[in-house]
Amino acid sequence: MTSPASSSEVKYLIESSEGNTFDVSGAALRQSNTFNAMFLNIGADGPIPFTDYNEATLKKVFEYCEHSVNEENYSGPKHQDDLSKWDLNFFNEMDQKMFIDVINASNFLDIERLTSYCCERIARMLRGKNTQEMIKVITLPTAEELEAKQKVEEKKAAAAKKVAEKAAETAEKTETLEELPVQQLVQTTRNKLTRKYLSFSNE
Amino acid sequence: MLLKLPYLAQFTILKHLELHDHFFLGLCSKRARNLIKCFSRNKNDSSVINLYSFSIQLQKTGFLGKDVVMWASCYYRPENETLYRSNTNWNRSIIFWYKDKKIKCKISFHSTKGIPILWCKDKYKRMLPMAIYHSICEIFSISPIIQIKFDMSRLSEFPDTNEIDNVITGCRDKDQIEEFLKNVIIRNATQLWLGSCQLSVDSVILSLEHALFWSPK
Repeated sequence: MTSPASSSEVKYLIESSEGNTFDVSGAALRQSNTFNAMFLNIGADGPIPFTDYNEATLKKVFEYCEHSVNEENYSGPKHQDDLSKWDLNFFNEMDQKMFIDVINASNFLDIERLTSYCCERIARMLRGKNTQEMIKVITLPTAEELEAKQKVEEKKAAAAKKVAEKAAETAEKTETLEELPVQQLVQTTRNKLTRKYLSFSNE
Repeated sequence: MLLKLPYLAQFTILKHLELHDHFFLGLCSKRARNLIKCFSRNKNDSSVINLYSFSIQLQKTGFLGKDVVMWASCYYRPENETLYRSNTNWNRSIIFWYKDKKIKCKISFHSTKGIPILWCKDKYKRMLPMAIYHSICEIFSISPIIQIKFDMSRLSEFPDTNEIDNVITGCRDKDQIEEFLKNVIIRNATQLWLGSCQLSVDSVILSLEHALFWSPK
């Protein structure tokens, strides 16, 4: 459970966006400046909600924090070639989406070291590339893709317009249909009544 | 990916990139260009077309310009040959527009400087530097003051413009520079290396404003 004690043995419960909770050591959490500012001194009753981030992302972030607990204090970006084997494996395992999620989470948690290394990795992906290659890396749509997307949207809009027109037409028809049976009903009942009346008068 | 990241992370990434990476990134999309504009604000004051090194440079007042990108054409120069042969990947290309002309360029990277070299057809060799120059001014949010460093011996490759703000040039032939001054208007300052030329009193060169002449004599 959570406690305000500053001992590294203390475990804190973290709640992800899925509502799942998991343990993280106090020492690992202390690498987050956001956590330090919010919970370390006052403690937390129950799980700490980081509900903007999913469990996989938070676990990845705190996995890094747990690993770098014993490392010296962060003093500016390290060259990528100076990274340990564990660090390299850690970053190589992540795909682009995970990079975005981890950067977002570490930026919120203010874990300077992790944010900086992730940014350096992304910069490496972009370095020495031309425009087309960069577009692929930053997953921007190309001009052709934009054109195709626009065409699809135009088609969708045209289809929606057709559907709306059809719906309007059917609505008009149903209005007339609804009117017709009532008129017919009135007419038929009138006819029946007059017939009955006539037959009665004949009798 | 980059554009989805928080502001601080975007800036950290951009800090790790070179000027030419910023340039290519700024050409990717409007949002990317705005990001580069925002990041490079007040970092550079002006840009220079340097015909000595065939590069476009970005400059902060009081400092030497930093090379952003080089250009080259199929026009033969000995240095072009070495640059051409040092590249093996010719699949990368980029398109620029200048005066309604589409300039398709192939991209290689300089083996020592590490900056990109944009290769164009010979007929666009004067247009390409201006096209790149305008793109750089737009991306890096720099006022489009045209500054050119060149030597009169390379007048055939002089950028496609009739007006220049500042110019640094060298010349051995007085007539050549007088002919040049008839075709081109210099709006601000001129720095001229005259070599052994002797100027007459009625020379057009002496009518230049804010001019600085260098001569061994």
